[in-house]
Amino acid sequence: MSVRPDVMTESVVDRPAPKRPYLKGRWMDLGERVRPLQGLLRWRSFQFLAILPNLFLFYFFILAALWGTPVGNRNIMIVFVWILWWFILITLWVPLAGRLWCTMCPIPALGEWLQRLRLVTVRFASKAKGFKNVLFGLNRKWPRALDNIWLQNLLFLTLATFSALLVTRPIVSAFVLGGMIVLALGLALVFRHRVFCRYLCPVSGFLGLYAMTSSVALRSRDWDVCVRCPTKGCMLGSENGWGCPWMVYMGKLDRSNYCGLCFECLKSCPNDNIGLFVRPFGVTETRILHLDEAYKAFIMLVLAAVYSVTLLGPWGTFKDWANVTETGDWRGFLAYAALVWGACLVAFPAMYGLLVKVSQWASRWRGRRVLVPASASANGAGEPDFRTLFLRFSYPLVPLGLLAWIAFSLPLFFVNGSYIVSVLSDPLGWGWDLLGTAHVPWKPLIPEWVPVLQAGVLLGGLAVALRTGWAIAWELWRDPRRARWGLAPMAGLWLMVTVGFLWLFTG
Amino acid sequence: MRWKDGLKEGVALATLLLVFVGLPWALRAYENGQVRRLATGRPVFTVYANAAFGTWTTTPLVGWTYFWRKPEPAHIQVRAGQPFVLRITAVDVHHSFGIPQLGIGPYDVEPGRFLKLELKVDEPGLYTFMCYTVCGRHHEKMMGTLEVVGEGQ
Ligand code: SF4
Ligand code: SF4
Ligand code: SF4
Ligand SMILES: [Cu+2]
Repeated sequence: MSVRPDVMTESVVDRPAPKRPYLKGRWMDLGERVRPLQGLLRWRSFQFLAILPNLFLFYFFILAALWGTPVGNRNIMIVFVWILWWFILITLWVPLAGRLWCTMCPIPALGEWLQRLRLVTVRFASKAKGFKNVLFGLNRKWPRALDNIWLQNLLFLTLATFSALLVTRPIVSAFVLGGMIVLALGLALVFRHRVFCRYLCPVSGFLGLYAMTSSVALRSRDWDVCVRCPTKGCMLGSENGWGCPWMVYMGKLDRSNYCGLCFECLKSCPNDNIGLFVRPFGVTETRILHLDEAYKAFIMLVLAAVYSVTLLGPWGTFKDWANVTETGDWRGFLAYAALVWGACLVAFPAMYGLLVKVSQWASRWRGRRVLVPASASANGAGEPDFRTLFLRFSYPLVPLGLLAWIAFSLPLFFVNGSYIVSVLSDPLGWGWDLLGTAHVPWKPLIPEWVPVLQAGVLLGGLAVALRTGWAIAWELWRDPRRARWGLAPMAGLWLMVTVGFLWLFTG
Repeated sequence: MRWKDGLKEGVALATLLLVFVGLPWALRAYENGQVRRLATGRPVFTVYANAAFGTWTTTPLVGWTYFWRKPEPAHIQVRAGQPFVLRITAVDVHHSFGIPQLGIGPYDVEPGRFLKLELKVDEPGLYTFMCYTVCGRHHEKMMGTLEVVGEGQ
């Protein structure tokens, strides 16, 4: 291989162990183990080919929603998106592969292709400074004040409030999905990169949050190589790949939240310094850094509870409030919306804050007679402040919430799964029978096992939360007694949340 | 752009266009084929049962029209002795279809499913079809007419 001038020529072999501060537990560099995989991910047409079938399906779903039956469980839009896709996403994609959905998601694709004026190849302009790819459009920068996921949180809450409509009316789903595609396209022409994905997509917020726990993560193989890398191709682009559409700099990345796994940096890094790593599920090393992310964790957990109550729980009134189109009870719906928003944005965070206060106080009180080692206070482990505690202790809600969502989704899938089989043969409710399965009767699958599965998943979530919580408490206080007392109030809440879900699911 | 890149882009773009044009075309073509096969030369009428308005209607009620289109009560006209086909579906809840004067039905009409009836009426006249399942507030109103026109009329 000829060496281009912008490539570092140092041999990788005689360097010391690579610097990977994010690698604490057991990790494996999948691309190094399985070379063909690295090759596949570096193949320029890979993402296009991953998106294409999904674009085809989304287009099909939207057509089905427009032309097909308005009956939700006989229309492929509802059955495939809200029963099948949702289930696969939450139970497999996110826990195992993080944002892998974003690799193949068709929603931002049209905008991105228009921005690039390319589908598979790269446009390269060897400018001395800045981005090395030419993007079509106004190329504006996203406002700093919105460089967070608050908008995503609000959009997600809005959609979640109307979820009863969204998941039963094909046309509503079509407008929401279509609207997302149009919005992504419009924004792609005004702003540089995938700002829709990064800042607005309602799915993105929870994908990013829950991807933190996931088994798969894309990272720079060696931060030292990045430090000395002159081109920063991963971020700025090169002749082989676009600059990161998610505005992520690989050379410092140690969390999975905002890398959309588009695998451009694998192509654009001239030093082959990007690896796809796998690790066991439920890492403890990662952390929530900002309040918007903590709120995302609260919102997701509260919504899992709200949906469990409205869809599986015993209280009819609350259920009726949520289903405004069937009951026409707008007052009830307003009450429902206010309750949901209040619980997500005020009540739960306030309660959490209070418990963090208790935790802070308990750890101090029990630690009074303990001499804090000088080394511990010197490296900042002495007295964590409220903000630090609050953010650090919000992370265990991520595995807890993800597994609560999985537990909640299990009955939906197993109860409604037979619709998938019949809708396959008659996707638009037009009376077709493509595969001879159109008249398979509705039948819940393994109903007697679902509560058992749910209980297992919930307890697994609690276990991961406690393990993570302990790792965090230990890191914060470096003293077993203080850590135990500091963790206790939080652990109590996680336990109560789990018991609450168990009670909802198993009656 | 190198010619090889251009070729790749061209193939990708062609695939996209094919998908965008081909899919709706294929759906329509398949549906038309289904209806033609069912019809075998006979006239086919599609009837939608709607509980919200309490109507049988031939106004197409599909995903995007269901919410705003006011369905007209069905009025189906056939010639006496002429075989014809009714395709009946429900757009919301369970209904059942029958024409009491002709001793037809009641048959179940399930939401998102199609009931196919092959009929022939020899006696000219005005027949009323109705719903036999209490399907909502407007259930009583659920009536449509089948007008059978005699020879020379
Ligand atoms: S962030 Fe949203 S729109 Fe963007 S790729 Fe992911 S799921 Fe799709
Ligand atoms: S990952 Fe980015 S910064 Fe690191 S070596 Fe590659 S191009 Fe350079
Ligand atoms: S860091 Fe950026 S370029 Fe690399 S895979 Fe993630 S989103 Fe794509
Ligand atoms: Cu009826």
